[in-house]
Amino acid sequence: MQVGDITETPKFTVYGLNCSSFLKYEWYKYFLRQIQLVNIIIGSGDKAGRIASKLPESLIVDRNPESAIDLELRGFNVLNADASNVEVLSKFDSESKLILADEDEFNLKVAKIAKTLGFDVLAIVSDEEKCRIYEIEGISKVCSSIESLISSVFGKTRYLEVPVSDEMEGLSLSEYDAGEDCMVVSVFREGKILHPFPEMELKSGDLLGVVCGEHVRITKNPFDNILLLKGEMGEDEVKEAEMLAERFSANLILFEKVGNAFACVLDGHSESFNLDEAVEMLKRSDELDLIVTTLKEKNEKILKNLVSKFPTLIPTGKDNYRRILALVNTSKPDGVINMAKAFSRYFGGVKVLFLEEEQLKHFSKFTETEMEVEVSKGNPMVDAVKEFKSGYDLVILSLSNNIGNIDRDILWKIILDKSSSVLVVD
Amino acid sequence: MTEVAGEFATIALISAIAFISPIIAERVKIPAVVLEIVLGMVFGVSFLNIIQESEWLSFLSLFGLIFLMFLAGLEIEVENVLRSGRLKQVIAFFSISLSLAVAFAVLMGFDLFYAIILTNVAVGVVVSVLREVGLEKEDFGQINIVTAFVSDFSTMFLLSIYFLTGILQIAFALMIILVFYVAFRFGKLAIWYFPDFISRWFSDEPSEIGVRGSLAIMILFVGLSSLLGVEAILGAFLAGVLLSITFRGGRKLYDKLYGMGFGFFIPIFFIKTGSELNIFQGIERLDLVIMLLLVSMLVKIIPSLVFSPVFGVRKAISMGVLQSTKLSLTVAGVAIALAAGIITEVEATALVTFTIVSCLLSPTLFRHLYPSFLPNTR
Repeated sequence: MQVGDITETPKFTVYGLNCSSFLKYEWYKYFLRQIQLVNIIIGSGDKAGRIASKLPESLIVDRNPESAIDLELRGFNVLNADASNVEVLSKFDSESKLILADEDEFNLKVAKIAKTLGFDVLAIVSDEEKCRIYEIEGISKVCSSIESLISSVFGKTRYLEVPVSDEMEGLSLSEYDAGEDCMVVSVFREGKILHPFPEMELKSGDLLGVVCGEHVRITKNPFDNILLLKGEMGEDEVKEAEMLAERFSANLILFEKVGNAFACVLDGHSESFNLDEAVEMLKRSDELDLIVTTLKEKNEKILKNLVSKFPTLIPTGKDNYRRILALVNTSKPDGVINMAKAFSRYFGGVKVLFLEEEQLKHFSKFTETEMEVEVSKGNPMVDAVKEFKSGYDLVILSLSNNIGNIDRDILWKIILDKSSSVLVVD
Repeated sequence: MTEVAGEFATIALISAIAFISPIIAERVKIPAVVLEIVLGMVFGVSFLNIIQESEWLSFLSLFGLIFLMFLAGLEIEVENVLRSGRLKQVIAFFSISLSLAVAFAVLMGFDLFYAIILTNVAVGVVVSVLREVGLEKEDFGQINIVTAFVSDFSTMFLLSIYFLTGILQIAFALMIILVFYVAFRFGKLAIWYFPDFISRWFSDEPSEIGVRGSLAIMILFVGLSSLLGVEAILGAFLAGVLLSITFRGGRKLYDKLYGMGFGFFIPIFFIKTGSELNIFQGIERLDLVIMLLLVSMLVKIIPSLVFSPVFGVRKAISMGVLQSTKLSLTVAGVAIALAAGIITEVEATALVTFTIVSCLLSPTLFRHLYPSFLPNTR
């Protein structure tokens, strides 16, 4: 139903709302009051419809008249207008969330205008290679899937159910991209709940139980920026940091040691920093995810200071992490477990050794990774050393060390041992 | 009946007492240890005189005492105590307690040996009582065990030094501490370099390597203590502490050792101790017995108030009462003092009677004073 052309410029049309009764008023002002603080979806067709179906109180701004009519017939609130026109966007409350779900070129065009108007912009990127361009444009969230976008909009962990379409038939679960914020936790098939595993073949009609949230993102891609404190680090250790950054598609920020201070080297320029100040600054700006540094000897104070702010990797020059061990030696094991899941996703097999059986309650099977879980049955400290000595490329552990009674000296022997790199979390 | 058959009959009787004691103790709500001593007295020289002295019984009883001290050491979780930051209070408790006991001895004109006896505490009974009420792993239980350990350890040394005649003997006594430290360092190296072997100690292997190894360490330390002229129970205690601080856990192995100790050897020690005590001899110096009982309570209750900010006044007082428990070292000390001519036979009898009553009275009073022991009773 076409309601009518209201203004000459910009030209837009409203579908789906019962607005015939207030046509005689400046209806669009009323309409805009109604849509304050809702989600505005810029897009068309099925993609926009799928997002709107998950987000109540949303409005689709569709530039394609035919698609707009189709969406209206499906019961969505639709505005047929060109969102790249500044006049259109300026009519909306800038506190609304603007969700860009059109083609990338169009999204980017709208994003530029939207940012000048102060909108909080989220986008679903069609071409992953364009992610960087979105980031440069200052789009606050670049979500790779509808599920992770929904989770970003709600800002907390959320459970969704996604039907498997005909096009997805035959894909394995590991090939299904739920987005960086989401993971599949269950599969409903023919009235039964199946436990998902990476090789599970999807069938049309399956319903995927998907959990989305920041918590999941950390386990899937924990590092965007990695700080390398080069100091007296050898070439192999630097290469390990580069390998890690490459594998996680993270930026590697290099701090060279100059005397007692560190110098940040970027784009040919350098600036000296006191390390504590620099780390504190990075913590406040929320720009850093991991520190890579070497330790020649036991120094509880320095490591504690770093680890209290960021996970810290002590490299030993590994070119790959073929075998990874996660020692759950903390009463708050989420840090260790999340890192284990993340590394499992990017490097393969991870063995998680729980030093106390009770800690198992913190662990939920991750569907898209391969993790072997074991609980210490004898002496936790001896079991931890025995496992460590069996040869691992990377060991993930907690510096708090308040579970399992690992002797502090033994813990430091593990941290400083040259046979494995060690990722220390708080 | 042959001699061997008689010995077997005695051990069978003791085993039966050991079996029924915890069952009856649960019903009459007194510590099983106390009941074992009382039943020992009933079947010993005080009344029925059925339990006769024999080499077998003496060996099993001694092994029970050693096991008791070993398991008391195993209970110590030094890391937790150091983390709790209450070591200063424990040391303050001991210092005040010793000072009060010395003041009493000097005022009454007694030998300083009395001060040592009054400051002493029966760690084994304290551990047993705390285990029975399910407090041995809680903060209150751990502080109690550590306090008892510090008091017992210190008085044990004071007693050794008191009767030692030369510097060389004192140096020998201190050497066992050095051995303990060396063994501790060696243990950590063994864990690091031979984790596969050490992990077998804590596995379910039929050969029970862990039990054998632990007992070997215990007996090695006991032997070493004897060689160096130190009380054997100190060696056993240090062996337990050594295992505790080196391995820092391993419930499965510990449970096997507890099963061996508390299931057989330790009850034999308590029952035999009870059987050898003649309660009627103590009655001759009832005034001394009562005075010692009162003073032994006071020298523990007053310093226990240092823990009142942590546990509250009632719990702190109940701790003082439990810490006033006397048993094996007191009895052993009395025998040594009597032999050395420091105390008379009458005093010795009164001191042993005081020990028996203290061992019965203090744990029972503790169980009535401790505010929440009933829900924790197991």
